[in-house]
Amino acid sequence: MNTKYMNPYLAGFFLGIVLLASIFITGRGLGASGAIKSVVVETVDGLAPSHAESSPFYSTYVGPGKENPLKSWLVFEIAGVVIGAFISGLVSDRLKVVTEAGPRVKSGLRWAFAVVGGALFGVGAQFARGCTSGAALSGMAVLSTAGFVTMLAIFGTGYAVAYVARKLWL
Amino acid sequence: MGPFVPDLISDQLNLVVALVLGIGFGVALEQAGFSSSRRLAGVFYGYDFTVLRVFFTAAVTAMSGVLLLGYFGLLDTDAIYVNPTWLLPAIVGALSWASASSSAAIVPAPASARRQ
Repeated sequence: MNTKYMNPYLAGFFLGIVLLASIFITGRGLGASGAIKSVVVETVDGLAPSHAESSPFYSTYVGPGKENPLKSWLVFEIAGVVIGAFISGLVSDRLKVVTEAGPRVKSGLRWAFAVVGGALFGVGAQFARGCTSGAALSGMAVLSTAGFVTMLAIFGTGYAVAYVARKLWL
Repeated sequence: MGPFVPDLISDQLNLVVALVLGIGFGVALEQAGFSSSRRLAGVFYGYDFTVLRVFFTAAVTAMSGVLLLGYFGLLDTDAIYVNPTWLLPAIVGALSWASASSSAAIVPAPASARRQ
């Protein structure tokens, strides 16, 4: 593994300080999946506005008199994440387009699984009202029961599915 | 006394604060190595525990900070957002994510921080 990465405990501490600053200044923790959802809502509204206005899910976000879904805290935060990660990669000389996989797997299969996995994540994030950052990490930081439950459920199931998917990585 | 939203910081300025916090988030994630999907999958196969270390260190740091600031009266703990608990959806959702994490080795925020 690349040894130029920051010590994980130090990085975790720094991440905790950012999370704490977020809670202290704005009263909410960090998040991510909500930003993706905002992009989806805005795209659907752009392509099929009548469907968006009549569906119970989309109509809470779009319609006459409502603000653009992209004008949201999470969208700006994720924009920041992309910028921050880019700057960090630039400074640490890690900017490269690469597809990582196990030794016996081709890139195409990796990308296919990435799409499937991403879709599963999107579904899960809507059920759980958050993702690992918003529901689990920020949830644990404010001692929410949901935070701990989701953390345990993620890692428990992750280990179970990992065994099935091991050929992709090992 | 925190939080400063919505009294001292307006909703518009809050968006700028979100951008700055996001930059910090992105730097932390990328420095920790979350831009590598092999590293993310590593925790499930027992060869790279970076994810666990970063995650729980961050949670414990923030948690301790919230409790300390609340104790010293610097943070109004009633005004911060605590995500509500709906057990079944949370578990179903997390089952779905975890399948995603193993098959695709992504979690949304680090995915934004990734190069591939």
